[in-house]
Amino acid sequence: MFPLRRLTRRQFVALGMTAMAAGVLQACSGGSQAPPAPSAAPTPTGPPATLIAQPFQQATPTATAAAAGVSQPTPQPAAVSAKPTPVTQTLEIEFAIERGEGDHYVLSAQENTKHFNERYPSVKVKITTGQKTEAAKLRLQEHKPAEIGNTGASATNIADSIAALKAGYVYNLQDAMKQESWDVPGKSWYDTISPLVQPLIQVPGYPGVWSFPNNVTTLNVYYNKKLFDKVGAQPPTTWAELDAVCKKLKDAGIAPFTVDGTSADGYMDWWFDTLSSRIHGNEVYRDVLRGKTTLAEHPGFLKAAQMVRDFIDKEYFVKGYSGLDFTGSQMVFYQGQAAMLYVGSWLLGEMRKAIPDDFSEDVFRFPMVTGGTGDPKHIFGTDNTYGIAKESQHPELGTEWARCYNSIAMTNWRSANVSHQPAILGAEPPTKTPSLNKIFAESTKMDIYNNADLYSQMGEHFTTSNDLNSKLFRKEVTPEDFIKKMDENIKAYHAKP
Amino acid sequence: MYKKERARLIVPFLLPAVIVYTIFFTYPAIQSPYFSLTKWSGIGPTEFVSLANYRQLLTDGTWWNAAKNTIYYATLGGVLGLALGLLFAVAIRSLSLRLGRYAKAIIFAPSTLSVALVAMLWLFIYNPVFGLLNGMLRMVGLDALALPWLGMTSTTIPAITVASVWAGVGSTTILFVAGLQKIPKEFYDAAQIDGANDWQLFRHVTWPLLWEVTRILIILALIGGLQAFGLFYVIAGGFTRPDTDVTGTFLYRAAFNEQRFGYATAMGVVLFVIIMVLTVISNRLLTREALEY
Repeated sequence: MFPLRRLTRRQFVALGMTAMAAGVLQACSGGSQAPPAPSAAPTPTGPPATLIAQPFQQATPTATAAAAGVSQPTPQPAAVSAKPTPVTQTLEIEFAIERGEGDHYVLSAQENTKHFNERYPSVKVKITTGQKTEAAKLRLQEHKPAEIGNTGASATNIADSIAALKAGYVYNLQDAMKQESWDVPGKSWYDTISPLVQPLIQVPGYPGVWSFPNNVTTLNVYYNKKLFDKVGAQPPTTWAELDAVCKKLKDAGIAPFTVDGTSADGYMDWWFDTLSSRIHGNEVYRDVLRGKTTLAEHPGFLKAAQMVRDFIDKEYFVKGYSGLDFTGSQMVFYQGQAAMLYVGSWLLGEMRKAIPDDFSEDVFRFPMVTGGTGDPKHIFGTDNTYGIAKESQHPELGTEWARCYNSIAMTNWRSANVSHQPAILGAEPPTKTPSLNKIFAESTKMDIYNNADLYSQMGEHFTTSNDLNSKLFRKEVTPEDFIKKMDENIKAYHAKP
Repeated sequence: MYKKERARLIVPFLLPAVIVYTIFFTYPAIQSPYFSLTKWSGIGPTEFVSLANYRQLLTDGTWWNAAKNTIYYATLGGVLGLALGLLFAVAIRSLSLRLGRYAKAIIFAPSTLSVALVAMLWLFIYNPVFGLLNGMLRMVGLDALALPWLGMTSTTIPAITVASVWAGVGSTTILFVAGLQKIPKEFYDAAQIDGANDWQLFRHVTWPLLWEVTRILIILALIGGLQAFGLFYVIAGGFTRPDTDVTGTFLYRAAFNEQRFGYATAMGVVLFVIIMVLTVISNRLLTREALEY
């Protein structure tokens, strides 16, 4: 039947072993090789990008960046008129994301594609959903990435970003950003981006613009207007006022706050982080993370931990909060079983299908602490960014798609339809939370929540910090022990060679 | 002659499976030990660090806690699952054929659900504010027992075990029912003639003749318990706490949240060895002389 010699059992086993041996040789040789050299990585200027050792440029990028000796995009000349790339042949570009069909980010990409195709009708945009981060990394290593996706570099995840830049995976958008905005005549694309967001699409030590903004997420206190009206409360501006509002609510049988209490994903950290920033200023905490000082040396940190504990002891968090995951906690808020939730502005986009039509809400800024030296207009947040893959087939077209994504028209669409907080100046806020844009516009400084740009480099020590914060909430550590263990954790990181 | 001809025929049919198995199972299994000797963030080249990852594992408190939790989960889940499965199987055998079919369908239904669906379902059941469990407890005046089931270290693993047993007891029951059906009725008749009561029937007839099935289920429960990951991961929303980690979730977090792929691979290699050794040992310990009937 088959032109094979007769195989004895011994020969068959030998054949199988040969196949396996070939696999072993391939495994050992494949594992010891570095991936094939990609195109040249950008050469960093200034000191090595060990973020903990150098300050991070913030809301006034030119001033602080100059002090840090880090290159920044130079002030923009008069905007260059956009000259859309004449595209006559049918080309395909790809947008890949780990989210699934129907997700708000996928819907945004689909809408943007329609808008993009009005100017580039011959360019087909393939939207790939469900591409996990691991799969995206594999495609980068195989030099077959999608044009647009979570493959950029930004200040929100320094460790991964530097690795991606060194590997030469990321397309520099600096020149493209000098082009005129998609729909704001006379203004460059870069200048339409909020100054609080501009530093986040760059990476210290690596001159250039390495991603483009999707939406901003800022941490604010969401409140149920009806429950507030019920007890005659107004959005508080100080911690003492917040305490008073919580007492009113509790006396009326309403749980003041809900919180994600089960997981160590950093949600509970925000309370300590924000209180610390109001008491001391967040830069002191960042100095602690950089190893320049300790929490114990600044009594305000203990005070912050004690204030968190005080709220827990007063039972201002909904009963059973430690058993709520973040979805459950958000549902508790939208079911009207708790009046407030301190969370990021992704809340509306994430919960849009579950929010009752008659639910009335708004946001207020996390209150200041009387006597604190921190900036009351400081805000924690981040920008969700996308990047263009340098080794994709048509990065220039991907860049055009990105420029369209950052148009006022598309940003407004996202605000209205998926409640994304805009990163683009002049765009409208989500309709349900009219105060959101105002708070953001009045903010003087934005640090990445969880100080994740610093913590993300600390690996398992970040997990330990999250865990300690969740233990503080579950009353498994005292505030004093919390400070001590946090210091030990950070010290252990810096003690590593 | 016929056997040699048949052997010649089998080779081309086996070869595709052997090739697929080599590429997708053997090759990664062989490559893993290499990565376990490196420091690698998942992007860029690897850095050879010899046995540093294994040395770190020996002194990593989180790993040992995760291992302890895994053994706890595997033991609790195994005992509960097997006991319930056997109970259901014995009960089903006493039902009429028709009722027995309905009972089997109801008990087996959860086994058809995906891990993610089971996790989401039980997340809602355990929700401390509006979940079914606490709601029922409050309804009957047991407010003190309405706990944050997934929020306390002491209750999280038992709670997840219950969800896991609920999802898996159907398969166990079906296998036990099949085992029970193999036992000839005459053995029970003979024992009853000798004056055996229900317990004696179970102890001296059912249990010994069901041992082969039980042995396999114990080994499968052990392997399944030690490989615990999906339910823990989805219930925790992807962010498990170190105090309620199992080895699978700690491994995943080390690799994908903390970018310590080399370290995570070392954990994987150790887990593989542990599961292999425990499987061989339990197989040896649980093997009895087969009863022929």
